[in-house]
Amino acid sequence: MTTIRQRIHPLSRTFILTVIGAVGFAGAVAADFLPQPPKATTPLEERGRHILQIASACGCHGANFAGWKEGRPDLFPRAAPFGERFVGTFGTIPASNITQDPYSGIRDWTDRDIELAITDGIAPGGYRLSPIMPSRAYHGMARSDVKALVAYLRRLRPVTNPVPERAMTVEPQAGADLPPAPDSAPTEPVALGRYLVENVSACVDCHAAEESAHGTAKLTGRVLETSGGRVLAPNLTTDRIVGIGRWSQRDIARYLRTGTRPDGGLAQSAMAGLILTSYSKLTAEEADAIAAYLKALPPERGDHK
Amino acid sequence: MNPHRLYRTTRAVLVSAVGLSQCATAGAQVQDGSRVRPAAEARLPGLESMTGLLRAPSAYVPGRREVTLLASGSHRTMAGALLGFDERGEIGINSGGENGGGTGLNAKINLVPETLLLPAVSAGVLNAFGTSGANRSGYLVVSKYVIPYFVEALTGKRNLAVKLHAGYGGGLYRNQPFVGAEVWSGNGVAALGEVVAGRVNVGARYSHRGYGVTLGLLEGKRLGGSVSCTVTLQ
Repeated sequence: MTTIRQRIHPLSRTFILTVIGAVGFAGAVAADFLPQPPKATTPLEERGRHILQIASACGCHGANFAGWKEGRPDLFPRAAPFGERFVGTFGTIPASNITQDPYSGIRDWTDRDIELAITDGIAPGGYRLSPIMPSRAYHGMARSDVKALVAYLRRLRPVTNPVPERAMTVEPQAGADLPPAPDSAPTEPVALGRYLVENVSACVDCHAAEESAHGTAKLTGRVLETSGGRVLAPNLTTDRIVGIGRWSQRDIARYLRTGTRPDGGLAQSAMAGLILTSYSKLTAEEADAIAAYLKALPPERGDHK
Repeated sequence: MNPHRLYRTTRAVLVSAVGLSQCATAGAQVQDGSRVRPAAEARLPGLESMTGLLRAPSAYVPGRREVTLLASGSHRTMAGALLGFDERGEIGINSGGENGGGTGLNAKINLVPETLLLPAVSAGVLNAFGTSGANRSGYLVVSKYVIPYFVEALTGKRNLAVKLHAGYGGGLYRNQPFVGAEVWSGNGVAALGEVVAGRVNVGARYSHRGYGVTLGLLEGKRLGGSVSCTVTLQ
């Protein structure tokens, strides 16, 4: 009686082993091929690097953080590795250069300047940033995390890219006062999940109904305009029909870290890019915390068409 | 045509027609917009009553509680069903075929689920008990779906998706490697190409809300095709 091993030709065994090896190798190469922010040198910078990565990797500013480059496409993925430019009835808003370039970046800003831009949307000289910068979400970012993020931003390689001025039809105004930020990030899972959803990963930016304010945002989904047309950022509440009520907590955590949906399919559109560059860097505890928070949301439906 | 074969072919066609019509009714009842996969992600059967291209299998399996009814014809005419279990495997049963072929059982297990970076890896067997007209064929296959967003990033072309497959198998696959590719357009139409047992097969596929049609030219001389309907049971 022949064994399976004997029935498989040695060359074919080599082929099978090669395929299996190639799968692992391809994954490792692909992961390394993706643009990575510079390494941190201190624990504070390491925390800042992690915050930057899970805060959508500051993705609007580009994989090189140099902002939108004149002459390049407006939106991802074709704008990469530079940032995006947003064009609409509000005007034209290119993402700014946040590298340490002395001419076109933010090297000359003080740490306090950078903190204010992140959490209050105010640049040096009182210049108010556009609402596309999610400062109102970041306003609730823990002070220790903001300090770490600022420390890490100082590590970004300078890239000279003078970004054109924005042209807005209506200048941005100050919003309603927001509650002060905590000193440090929560540790209890649901509270940590809420913190990440609302103040770090800024899920509310795409998934909250358009009119809701931060802190009261209902994650009932929204239609977004993208380079590929209109895309629905889905309802993240526990509604079983239009939301993710059928997903288990484990499903959500796995999706955030790998892009694999419960039905075996993959994340699509900009969410796929965000998972690769940002949410795949969530720790297992952070992904579980986000999942726990989302599973705690009541089922709700939005009115988007 | 041999009367026995004519009888089996007619039976397979009738079973398929009844099954697909029932499937269409059920599909209309249970599918809603939020649960339909993108066309390029549909787990469509090829000509061998398993999820795959034409004759080559893919590493994909139907999702949890997904049932696919199918009919296919090339060197043999078959009607069958595919059932996904727990997103990790599929069982396919088919009836019909040449040389008095009876009922065959196919099985596939997903060893490594696909992620945005890593491909899916599956192992499977066609005609596990040697009871249908096909050869018993074990295989190992790797598949990667490159979503439209990444195709656009790499090529600048919008609304194109690519699925690549490579594997090795015995029986039908003659102890040789096989490879295949699908290029999906945004309107649910795909071009298929594969090399199986050293022979080239090409084809096209259409997928829409759980329904699928696959047509192929096998080895440059023989036509084949399949129709299928997939529903997700509540």
